[in-house]
Order: sequence, then C-alpha cells, then structure tokens
Amino acid sequence: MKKLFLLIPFFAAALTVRADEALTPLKVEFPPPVLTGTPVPAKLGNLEAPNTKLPPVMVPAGVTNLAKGKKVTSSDPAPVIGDLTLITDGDKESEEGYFVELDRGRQWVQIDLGASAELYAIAVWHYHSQARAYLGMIVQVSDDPEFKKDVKTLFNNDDTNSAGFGVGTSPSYLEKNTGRVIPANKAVARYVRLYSSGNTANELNHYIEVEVFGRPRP
Amino acid sequence: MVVPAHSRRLFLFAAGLILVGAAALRFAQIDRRPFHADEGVQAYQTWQLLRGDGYTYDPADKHGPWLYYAAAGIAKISGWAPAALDESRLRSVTLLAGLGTIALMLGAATPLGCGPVLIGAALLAIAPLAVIYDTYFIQEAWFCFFTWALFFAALRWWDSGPKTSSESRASAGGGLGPARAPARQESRCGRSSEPSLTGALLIGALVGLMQATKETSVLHFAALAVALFAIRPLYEIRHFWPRVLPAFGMAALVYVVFYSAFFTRWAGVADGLRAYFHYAGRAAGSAHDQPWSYYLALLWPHSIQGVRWGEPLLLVMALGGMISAFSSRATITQRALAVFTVTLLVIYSLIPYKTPWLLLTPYVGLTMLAGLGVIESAQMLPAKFASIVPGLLCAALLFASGWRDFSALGRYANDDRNPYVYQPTSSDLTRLVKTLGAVAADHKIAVVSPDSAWPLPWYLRDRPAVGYFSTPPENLAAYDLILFDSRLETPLSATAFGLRPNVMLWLKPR
Repeated sequence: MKKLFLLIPFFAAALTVRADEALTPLKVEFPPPVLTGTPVPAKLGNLEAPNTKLPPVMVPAGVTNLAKGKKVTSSDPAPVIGDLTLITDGDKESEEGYFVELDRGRQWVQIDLGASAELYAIAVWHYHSQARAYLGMIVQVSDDPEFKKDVKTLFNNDDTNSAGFGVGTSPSYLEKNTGRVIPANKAVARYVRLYSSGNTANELNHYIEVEVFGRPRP
Repeated sequence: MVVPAHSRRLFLFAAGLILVGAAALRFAQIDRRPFHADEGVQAYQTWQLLRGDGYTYDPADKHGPWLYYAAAGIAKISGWAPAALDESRLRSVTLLAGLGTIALMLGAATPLGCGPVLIGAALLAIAPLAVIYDTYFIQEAWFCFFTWALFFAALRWWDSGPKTSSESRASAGGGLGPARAPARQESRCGRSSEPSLTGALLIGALVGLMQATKETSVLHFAALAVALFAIRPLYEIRHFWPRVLPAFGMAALVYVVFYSAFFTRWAGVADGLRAYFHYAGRAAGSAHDQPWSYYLALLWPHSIQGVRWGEPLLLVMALGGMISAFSSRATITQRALAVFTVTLLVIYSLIPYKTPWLLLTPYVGLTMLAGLGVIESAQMLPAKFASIVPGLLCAALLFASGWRDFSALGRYANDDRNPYVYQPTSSDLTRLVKTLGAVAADHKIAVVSPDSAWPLPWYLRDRPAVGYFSTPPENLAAYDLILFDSRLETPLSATAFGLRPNVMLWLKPR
C-alpha cells in the first residue's frame, strides 16, 4: 500500500504532461508598417514608460491559426466597404481592398472555428494606416453561437461599460502593423466574437484580419 | 426681354423652394460635427469679444475682424449670452452668408438667364462643399458671399458706363428655357451716361468688407479685374475714374472701421496691411501645401480607402457652360462669369497653400456655369431632343449631388476620407469634453500638445485651471489630469480620445 502511495506523483506527472509541455513564444507574422513619421521625443516624468513591449504569448507545439478561411458573421451583415471574408483571408495590409468597414456605433464580428478548440491567443488588426485606437473593444469566446452562456471575456477596454459587459480594464492601444495579440489563456471555445464602438478618428468600425491561435481539443 | 407674369411666378416659386431647401439641409446638419480647429479659434475670439475682452487683430495668424463682429452683433441682437454660444448658434452666422450667396445667384436671373441660375442655385443648395462650409464657423462663407456680391455689383456698374457701338451686343438673358435670340437686347431700359455714385459706393463697401473678412481678397480683386477687362477694353476705364475715388474712400472707411476695432486700436490699421507679408511667406512651404491639381482632383472621380468621390458631370457641364459663354449668344455677364471662375481656379491652383474651403468661391461659379451648360446643351441637339435633354441633365446633376450628400454629410461627415473636409475634428472629441465636464471645476488639467489641441481650448473655455504646454512642464505633478498629444507620446494605462486624423489625446489621471 505504501508503494502505491509512492506511485501517485508519477501518475500525477503523467496527467499533467500536456500542461508542462515545452512552450515557445507565439510567432505572429506582421505586415509592413504603413504609418510614417517619427514621434517627437518627450520626457514623461513619472508616467509609465511608453511603447512598453507586451510579454510574448507562450504556446505549445501544434498551435496554428484556426481562423484562417473560417466563416465570419457580423452585426452588420452588408458592409459598405469590403466583405466579411477579408477578416480571415490571411492578408493584413491596411490599404483599400484589405479591410471591411462596418457601420457606425457598436458592431461585432464573430468567427466560427468549426469545432471547439483550446485557444492560446487572438490577434486582431483593425486598421493600421492611420494612428487611431478602437473604442469599446471587447473580445469574447464561447461555445454558444449566441454568446448567451459560458462566455469568457479575454479583452475589454470599454471603461464606461457602455456595452454592459462590465467596466473594462484592458488598455486602449494605438493601432499599428503589429495589431494586438491578446492572450486566450487556454480557453476552450468554438466561437470568437469581437466588439468595437467606432474609433478615435471616426465613428466606423474596421477589421483587416483576425487570427485565432489554438489547437484542437485533446 | 419681357418675362410673362406666370413665368415670373414660377421662377419665384422655384427660387423660394431652393432657398427653403438649402436652409433646411444646412440646419439639419449644423451640429453634425464638433468644431474644426480653425472654427474653435474663431469661436474663442468671438467669445472673448462678446464678453467684453475686446478685439486685437493678429496679422500673423488670424483673418480679418468681420466674422467676429458679425457673430457678436448677431449674438447681441438675439440675446445670446457669451456662455450660451455653441456650435449651432455660431454656425448659423455663416449659414446666413451661404443662403445669401444662393439668393445672389437667383437675383442674377436677368443677366445670366433664369434657367442657368435656377439650376446653379439648386446645385449649390445641395452641394456637399457648400453645405459643409456654409455651416463652418470660418470666414469662407462670408468671403464667398461678399465676392459674388462684388462680382454682380461690379458687372452692373461696369456695364452702366457709356459704350461703343461694338458693345451693343448684350447683356441680359431671361426666360426659363434656352435663349434663342441671336443677339440679346439690353435688359435695363436706357443706360446712364456715367457710372452711378451709388454703385461706386456699394462696390467700395463690398471691397472693404472683403478685406475685413480675409486678407486674401486681393486674389479675388485680381480675378475680377481680369473678368472685367475681358468684357470691356482697358481704355474704357477712363469713364469710371470720376467714381473710383468715392469707391476707394468707402472701401478705406470700412477697412479702417473694422481693423481699428471701431476706432479703439489704431495699430490694427497698419497690421491689416502687414498681414500680407505673413501670407506671402505662408503661401509656400507650409504643411498645407498641395499639388497644383488639388482642386481638380477633388472634383475628378477618385476613391479614397474604398469610398468613391467626384463630380465629373458638374465639371463637364461647367465646361460646356464656359464654352457657351464665348458663343455669340452669350451675355457679357455669362462671359465674365466664365473668365472670373477660371481665373480664380487658376490662381488658387497655382498657390501651394490649399484647403477644400478655398474652393467654395470658384465652386459657386462652376455651379452657375453648369446651369448654363445644361440650358445651352439644347442648342447643340435636334429639336426633338432639345426639350428633354436639359431636363435629364439637370436631374442627373441633382441626383448625383444629392447621392453624394449621403456620404459627405452622413456616414463620412467627419472622416478624413471625405475630400470636402480637411483635418476634421474627430466626433470622439465630444466624448472627451463630456468626460472632462464631469470633472470638478477646481481640478487642474494640463494639455500637452504642440498646437494646444484646438478646438479643445474652446470647449474648456469656462474651466479656470487648464494649462496648455507644448512639452511637459516641470510641475506636471501639480495637475490632476494630463492630456497627452499622441504626436508627443503614447503612455500606457491612459484613455484614448480622438482629436484629428493621426492625432489622439491620451487622458492620464494623476
């Protein structure tokens, strides 16, 4: 019996192999930058250091972009510029023909990954040929296509709770060619939904590309 | 030409409809946009004047005093307190000028023809460029109004002196359809033997008001001179010399009244002339420099990041109007209109400093020429088409302009992809103003921006503790809230608010 207890750590180790497997920083391919000009340097006193690099998202082997070519739906089903397929077509340039423009106000896009998956990161590019930040940005995942149950919020900078999902504490950020890579913390879900409520330049909503990094459930 | 009473009534009905429609469209979107940076500057100056801080002309960076006094005068008459000034009220001051310009066009039915002015006025009434800048609290709408008032007054005056027999071709048109008479009759019964003093004084006053509105009036004077000499020989100016002095005196009087701040600051009189040196320096090498083809490109079909723009039909019909203005059927006013419009376009195209609102005055000429082109198109067609083609062209022009309004005044009203606006203030600024409105009045706010983040100073004008800095001040810690211009820095953990294209303000609480 005593020997049996000694084996427990070995069984436990075997069960957590997936959790302890080797992780490497997620590599995301970025399009070339479009914005030109160098910001004027300024001493910011005791403000936080600008342009701080976000920590890399660590992923195990076998993690790929599950969103590529997947079906996208939206609260604005008939965009005036572009179409929803552009969001998962793999092109991340910011010029005309690469982005979809959704209507004014709060709008969402939703990607159906086809099956529930273990998610590690969601990368989003809204529009990076102009310095702007998208407002009320919320990223959620769920196995429910209606997003009514088992919803996990991965990012929320809606600091006034205008969408009703709670006061967001995620930072606003400047759109760049590097987009935004949001850790998904191994959330398990089939659907990814991204909200925004216009941007600092105009009232419209744009998406160039959304990549969802994960792997099928074991 | 004697116009039948029923045609006159029809014309008046159509003219009234155009004016009411133009006013309705402008009022409907008068508060669609937050103030542009330039509007903020003008509004701030007006606010200071209205609350008794006086007016000091700044030759380096401001335009003439007319707009401020006009707005302050209307505010006093209307009983608006300085604190009650807002976008809608101040923009209604320039809206008056915009409607005045349309009324001027309609009033030119005699020399230009009823059809051309009705079509031109209808086009102007719904043109995005005119709707936007008639409701922009900057000098351009008034400048445009005074320019066209001067154009028509000067034409009438210039045409009133004695003429040689070779000039007996014409001045007036008329009728709702195309004029088919091979040689036009004079519209005014009898011609005075010498130009009238009243006309001279009116012209002088308008010249003075133009100068009191914008210093760039000299460009419009030059274009007008070219137009006048295109319709009458230079040597005929001798008939007008006796009236030039009173006209000049009136212009000087108006100039002195406004630039001296109603005789309270005489340095402004010299400063008004000194401004030309500043503008000469600014004409080239500024951030607002554009290629010579800028205005043509604005009207030419093009796409900006997926949004289609352009007014090709207007350009084609205006070109047709210009050509017909040099036909034997044309009146001298039509010819002068063509020369004046083209000269203005050439002048503004040659000057590197360009903004969309500078197109407003020549654009008015283009709409009238397009109206002329539509009416005259009947002349080039067989009789069976002549009765329907102008109507179809007119409908197409109006439909195209109205369709563009959906984009230019609606979805893209405040988008820098809209070619009619320039460096628009983001609608998101209203969110910042609302946020700051909830902050206690005694909280100190530092705005760190290379250009004071205009129009923010206008929106924060009632707050007692706001500091504006081009770089972070030493005592930054003394401020409760800090707004950073994104051109300077992008701090983390701050809230972003839009200011202008490529410029944001980051709000960082201490």
